Amino acid sequence: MKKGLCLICCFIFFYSYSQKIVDNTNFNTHFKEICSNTKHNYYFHKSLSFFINKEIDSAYSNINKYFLSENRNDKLKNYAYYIQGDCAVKKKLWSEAQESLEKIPDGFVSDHFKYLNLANVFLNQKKYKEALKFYKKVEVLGVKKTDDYNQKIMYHNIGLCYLHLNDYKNAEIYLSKERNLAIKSKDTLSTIYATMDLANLYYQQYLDDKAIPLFLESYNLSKITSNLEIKQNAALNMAVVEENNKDFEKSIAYRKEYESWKDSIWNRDKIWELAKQGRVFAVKEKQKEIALQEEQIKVQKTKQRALYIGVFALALIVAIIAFFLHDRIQKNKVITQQKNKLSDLNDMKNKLFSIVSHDLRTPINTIRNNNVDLKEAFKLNNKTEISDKINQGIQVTEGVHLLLDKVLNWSLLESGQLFTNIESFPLKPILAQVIYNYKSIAASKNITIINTVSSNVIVNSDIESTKIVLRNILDNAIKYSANGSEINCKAIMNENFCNLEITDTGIGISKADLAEILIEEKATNEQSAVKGFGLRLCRSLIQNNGGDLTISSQKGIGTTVSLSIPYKSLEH
Amino acid sequence: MKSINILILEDEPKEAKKLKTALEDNNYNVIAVCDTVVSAENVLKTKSIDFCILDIFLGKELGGIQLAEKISEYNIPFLFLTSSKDRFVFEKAKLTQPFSYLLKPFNELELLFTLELAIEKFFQQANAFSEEKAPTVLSEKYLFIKNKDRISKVEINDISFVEVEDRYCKVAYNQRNYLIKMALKKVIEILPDYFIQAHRNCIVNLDKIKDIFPNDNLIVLAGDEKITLSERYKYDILKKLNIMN
Repeated sequence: MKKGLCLICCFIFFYSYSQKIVDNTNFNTHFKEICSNTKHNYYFHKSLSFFINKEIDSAYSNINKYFLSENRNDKLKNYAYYIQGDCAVKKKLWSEAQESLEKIPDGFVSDHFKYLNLANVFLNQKKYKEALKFYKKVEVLGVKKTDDYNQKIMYHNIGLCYLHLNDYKNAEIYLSKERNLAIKSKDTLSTIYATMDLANLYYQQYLDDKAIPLFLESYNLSKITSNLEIKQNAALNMAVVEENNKDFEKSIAYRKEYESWKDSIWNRDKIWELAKQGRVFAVKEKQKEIALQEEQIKVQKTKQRALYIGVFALALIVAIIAFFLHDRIQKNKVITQQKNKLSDLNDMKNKLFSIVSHDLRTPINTIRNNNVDLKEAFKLNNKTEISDKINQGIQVTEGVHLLLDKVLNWSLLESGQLFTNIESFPLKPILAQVIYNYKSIAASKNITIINTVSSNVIVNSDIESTKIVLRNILDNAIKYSANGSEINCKAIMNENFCNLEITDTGIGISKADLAEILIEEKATNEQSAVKGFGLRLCRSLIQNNGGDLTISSQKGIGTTVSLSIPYKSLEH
Repeated sequence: MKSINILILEDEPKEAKKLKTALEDNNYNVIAVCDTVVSAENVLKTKSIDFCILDIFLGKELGGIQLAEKISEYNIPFLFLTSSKDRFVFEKAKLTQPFSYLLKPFNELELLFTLELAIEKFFQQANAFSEEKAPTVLSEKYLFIKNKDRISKVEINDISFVEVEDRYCKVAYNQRNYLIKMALKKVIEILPDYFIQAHRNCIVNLDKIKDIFPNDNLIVLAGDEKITLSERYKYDILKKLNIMN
């Protein structure tokens, strides 16, 4: 019998244990007020917010950090201890809880909660006397302050303490109080438990008369509830009672009921388990499905990726092909341009060859005939004839020399091999030097060349190039001028250029011819190419030295070739 | 006034002869015609040469350029003769600055002009001979004077004094005057030490001083020219004269 009772006692103990945690909802409002009234403290407030949200672990660790932090506030101290203590209780850290709670001075807002918590701490540590002391304090402070629920727990716990201290009388008082309260609050479950507690108390004191009706009452009440454990316990209690009464028949009936309730519990648990298993199975099925879907998605993604890669690769190939095509086209363009240029150059070369051969053929022929005549004259010893022929020969060779010079300069200029050395030099003596070479030819045509260039005109150019240009211009001027005419050379100074104008009164050039002479592309026939060759060479040379050449001409009146050469005036 | 002494380096006798004739016709003094670099060097060592005309090609060698590199030691102006317009040759010749050249075939005017140009360039007085009033180039040894396309020289120690006149410097030599287009300060730099300032606008040749009257601030030169002596330079001149006497 003792065995059975112990079991029930234990059961009750655990039951009460599970309920004895103090509900602190009333305090949350208190704390919120504190928060708004005190200076902000990071850890305290963090802990408080966790505490209010019932996240006990976080609240506890933060409040510990608060105690370690530098920034503490005396006003908050007691609250902090309260949070620490309460958390410790909930975490079942009994000694820590005791320590924290004892630090809170009496008279603090939540005195009875403090005592209640402390009492719980002691109860759990099986220090029943100390627990009882604090429970009494709570009772003195006014039970009314606490709600029915907490009061019930308190009475239960006090009763339990007395029970453990074997003070059955007081235990009876408090457990009765608890039972009355439970009946008053019409809480069947609590009533059954309280009744069972009280019955057990009497039964332990062998007060069967008082115990048995209570056991019966609790058994009857248990029939109303759907709680299988209570039904089971009530049945077991009755079975034990009847067994002690030697009424084995009844006892067996109760035992059977007990067994059936046990089976029911087992069945219920089984069903729960099955349901649980079913759920697990369903979850597994669901997971499988999800896994399958994921797999499908993966496959789809792979497919998509492959598609992207394919598209990208295709685009790349297209781009590469386009690039190479473009490159090819570009190259072809360059090649075509080069080809055109080359064919132009080749045309020019051919023209040049024809000019040279044509221009050489005539004078060489003249010299040959001249020499034949000379031979004849020697035979006849005709001195005037000999002298004439020799002079003629010199003149012809002069012309050939100039032609060869032109060709040489042209080839040097075209191949970039022409040496130019830009320096400042006086224009007058250079012009004089060129004129000097034409003295005899001019004299033979009775042509006067007038050089009115001032000796202080200093130009910046390459001397040799300038000479070549002047030579060609003078050669033309003399060639196309009538006997006895004048060729005028004068310099007109501009800001940066010296305009050297060489004017003849020769046959002149028509506008159309002039265009053909100066614009290479327009040189359609060989004849104009031949005529223009010298002038184009001159223009290229003078442009090469930073100057320019222009021609103005009127048919039958004469030609003016104007050279603009960069100049530097002598300071005076 | 004296003729300019010229050395010709030319291995073609015909060309050399033509050149020599043309120069001599224009009052130049052809001292020697050499056909090798070695013989030309010997002439340079032994004779007083004022100008060199160098044919770039001696046979296939660039003899003219070789000699030009050595001439720089003698401080003698020179010009190159060449029949080639080849860029390569010119670039090489151009390394011997200052650089003047004459292209064959040339006429007399071209020869004389290039000679002028070479002297101007060598003494860094570009276009000096184109000055109508003062066609002169001054060097440490000579004053080169152009007269009707011909250049002649006056020895510096024959000059008695140099005086500022307008924008020129008047050089007094043997009772005649020549103008140089140059600042007096520059003239002092070029002329040797025995030319010394007598007053702000005049420098005199110490060797030409016949008499000096410090109290009257007067210098009388060998040609009886009278030069004012300024207080500022009096002490320097007297000191120099004492040392020299």
